[in-house]
Amino acid sequence: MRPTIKPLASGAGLARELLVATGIVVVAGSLVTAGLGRAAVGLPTGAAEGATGPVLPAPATTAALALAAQVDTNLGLAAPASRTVEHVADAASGQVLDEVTDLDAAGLPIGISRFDSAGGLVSSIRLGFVTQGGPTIAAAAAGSAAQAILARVGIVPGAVTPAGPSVGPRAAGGWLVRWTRLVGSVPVPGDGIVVQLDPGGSFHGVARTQHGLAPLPASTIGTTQVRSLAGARLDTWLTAGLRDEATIATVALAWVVPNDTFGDPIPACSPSLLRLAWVVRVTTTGSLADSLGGLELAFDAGSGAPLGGDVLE
Amino acid sequence: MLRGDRTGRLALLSMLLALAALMPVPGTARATYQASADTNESAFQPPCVGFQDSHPARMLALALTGLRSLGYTTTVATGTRFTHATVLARTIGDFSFYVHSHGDNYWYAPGQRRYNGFREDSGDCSQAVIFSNQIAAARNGRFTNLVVVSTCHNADPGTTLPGAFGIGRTKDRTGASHFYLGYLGIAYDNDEQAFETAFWGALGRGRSVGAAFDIGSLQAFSHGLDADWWGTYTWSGKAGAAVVCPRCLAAGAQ
Repeated sequence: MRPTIKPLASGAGLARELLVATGIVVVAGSLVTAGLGRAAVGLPTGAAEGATGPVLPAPATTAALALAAQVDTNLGLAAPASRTVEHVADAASGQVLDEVTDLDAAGLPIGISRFDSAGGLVSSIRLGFVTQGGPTIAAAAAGSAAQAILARVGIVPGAVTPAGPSVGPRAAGGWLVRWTRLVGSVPVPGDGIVVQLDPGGSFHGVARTQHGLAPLPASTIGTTQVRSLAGARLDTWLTAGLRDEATIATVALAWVVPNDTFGDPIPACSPSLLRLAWVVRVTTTGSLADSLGGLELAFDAGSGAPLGGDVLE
Repeated sequence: MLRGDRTGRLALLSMLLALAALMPVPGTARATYQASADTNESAFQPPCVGFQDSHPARMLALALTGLRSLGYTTTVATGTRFTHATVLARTIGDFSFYVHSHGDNYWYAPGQRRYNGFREDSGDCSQAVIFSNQIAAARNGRFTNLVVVSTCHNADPGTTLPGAFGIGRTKDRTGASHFYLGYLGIAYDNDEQAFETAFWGALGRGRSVGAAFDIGSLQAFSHGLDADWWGTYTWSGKAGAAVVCPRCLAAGAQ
């Protein structure tokens, strides 16, 4: 299919000149909006949070459109009436991505695909997912359907996640199939691949997340030392009456991105890289549980330096 | 030293949020669509605990930016300004409501049954629950356009909180202007923040509430966050005159 198909109306020549002048890219007699062009074609506008620049270079636009068209084709989706392309900064990863929006004949968004600078598919989602019922296929069938979808879009989960996927129903309807990334045998919570399916197993969404890794520490501290470090933090944070209501439940290795949840300094060098860490899960009881559901404390597996964590309210 | 600096920065962020909420939005007419954005910070900072959790202030900032971009006249409340009494006093005028706090299906002794709800901040470490039946009574059947409940358990099956805001637990593609978002089971802060960053960002870029939910759901979560919604998928979320779909609503429910 042609990469972009929003036909110009009458007076197309003048329109082309105006649109190019205002930052909208015209490709092969068709119209593609890029960056600030949404209002000009009657699309919703807003704060454009995440938009990074007004215009994509035409070759980049064409490439992104072609990639999106290929994804749609591979997934067996009907060709949209038109597509738009924007450069966006992903708030979660910090990556600058090409975001292609599929539009229906009325100009309403029906799907969004995002690609990294190397043209790799980061995510794709079909919009308009409204369901009242629960899944109508079994979990095993959902897992197989998700595998087939990944194969069609060229993502090989086995390359990063030797473990099989987890399959579970989503509250909003349909299935969620998740491959958590493993490095060796150590999990990378948050990294991996997710596939969302509608109740019958059809495609709803796919996303792939993979952070870079910091070097492995030369040696790792033991769990006894980790428990001591975590205990010391809890001793400092909780008054004597509450300390007994916080218990270290588990200590396990994981690759984590450092954060400042507890005010810990984030490594100045490559702060978004994953660090090998001991993650200590703390459960709470009694009156403490009324105000604090639990904690996760992360410590650098090599040095024991705190790397932040998470709060369960 | 570091702790002091950071505590100061977070305090400054809270103060700036409060000031920002009082300032008019440039380029727009004085909106008449009230929103409240309440966040429990006291439970996650000294003296209640010995650390200062950075998430509540950040999520409040996201909500404030998001609600203002949608045209709501938004009042931020935390500490002693986010109490059981202030929530119930303001709720009748709210076209939109955001809360980040503890949430659960709490035992309501006077009625000898459970209701969903969330805890106030109140500026101390003893925080009362605001129950859904109390919100329902205060709102007296009036439905709320946009409700984002950033707590545990308030989108669990059988939750009574959407109904308190007059929103029935149905999903529709079009036809009305209301939307309730919440999380199932337990939810960690990092995951909630990831979801809400994407959700408010998508709304700010003109996506519909349903599309914003879909985009939020596709984020990378460390703990398998699950969220649910009820309302109208294609609604913009923007402040404006209500479009009522009678069968979508649960006026007066608890």
